[in-house]
Amino acid sequence: MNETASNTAGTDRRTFLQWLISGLLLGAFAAAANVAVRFLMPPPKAKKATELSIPTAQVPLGSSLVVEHKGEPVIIVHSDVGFVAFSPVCTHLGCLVKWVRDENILLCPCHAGKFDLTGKVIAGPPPEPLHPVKFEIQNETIVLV
Amino acid sequence: MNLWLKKIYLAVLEWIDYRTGVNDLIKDQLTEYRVPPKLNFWYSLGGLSLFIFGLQLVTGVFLLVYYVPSTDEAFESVQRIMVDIPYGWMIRSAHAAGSHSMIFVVILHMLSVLFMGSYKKPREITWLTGCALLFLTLGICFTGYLLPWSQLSFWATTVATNIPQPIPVVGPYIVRLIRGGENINPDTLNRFFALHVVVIPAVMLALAAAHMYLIRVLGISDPKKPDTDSGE
Ligand code: HEM
Ligand code: FES
Repeated sequence: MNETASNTAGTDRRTFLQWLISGLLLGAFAAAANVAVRFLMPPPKAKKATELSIPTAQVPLGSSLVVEHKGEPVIIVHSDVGFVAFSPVCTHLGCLVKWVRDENILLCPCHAGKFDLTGKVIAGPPPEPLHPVKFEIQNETIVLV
Repeated sequence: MNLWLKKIYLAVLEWIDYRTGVNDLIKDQLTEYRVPPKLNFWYSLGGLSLFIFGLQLVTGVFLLVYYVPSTDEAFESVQRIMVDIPYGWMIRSAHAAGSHSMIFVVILHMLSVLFMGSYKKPREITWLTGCALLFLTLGICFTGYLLPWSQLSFWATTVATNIPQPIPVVGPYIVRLIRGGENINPDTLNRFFALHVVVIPAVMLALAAAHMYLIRVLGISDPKKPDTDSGE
């Protein structure tokens, strides 16, 4: 190698090329990683419909219904106290609760978390109440907003 | 300039080498691996084939993430890869372009070996494994082509699987064996899928390993004296 060049302060050719090549390799790697991650990442949730109407007849007294609203599940329960709607996603580790009619509770099948129909935890590990979902009843329809 | 970084880097390499002896392996097989002087462009084609095969493995596995091997869903899943999945078009096009270039490069590689006489003693087995690799490359392209289950793949496979038909006596049996039926049917798609993503790639990997082991043991041939061992 050229003696004078390698003895001066600053960067000699070999180091420069090494940095250049590492930089290019790193850039190529980053571009490939970008493709891989974007390809594998699930697409964003479709949040098209802002309002969802369900005829009350679809949820007769003593039954429950799970629907999808804004990309999230919603459980609607029709009991003696009327209609209630919650996100069925358990506040413990995210299983979906279901309504147990005989005990009039929402039961999580995973670790037996129990909620009453106001969403309050009555047994089991869930740390907080179920998240309520806002709805209105207009002429025989349940409207989730 | 980043001395501490270099120190960590060297320390890690040193740690690994002490426990694996991998530095000697790299020296022997890569950095101080001696080849005859004046190698030319034609000697790079085998390595290029291997590189493209590697790309096909990677893009193929990515396609597998969304591809559904069933006659009801294959076409739609490929459409989804092309239209909805980010960069899906790129992965699929790369896989398709790679398959064509792989055939091209493998055949060029074979021709160069032929014209330089590199297949002569003691390299006959290397040549034979190479021939098998060429046929498997054709086979993997043939089976992959049916997978999108489009009109084009369907009829192209109908035509190609008809080729053995005129062979006396056994012809019709061969056709039915390949198709798994009288015509192209859902079973054909499934057996082509199994061949395309599991059987052929696995056999090709094994054969490529044997091919390269032999190249390493015998050394690279010297066109001027093809029947001598130019290794160490
Ligand atoms: C383990 C390795 C591989 C896997 C997992 C794989 C996977 C796939 C999949 C899922 C498809 C269907 C999707 C599509 O049509 O775009 C496909 C198509 C195809 N593959 Fe592969 N592949 C592999 C290796 C190869 C190799 C080495 C070649 C050729 C040398 C090849 C040639 C083709 C061809 C010609 C198509 C049809 C392309 C098209 O119509 O777009 N594949 N492959
Ligand atoms: S996830 Fe519901 S109780 Fe554990």
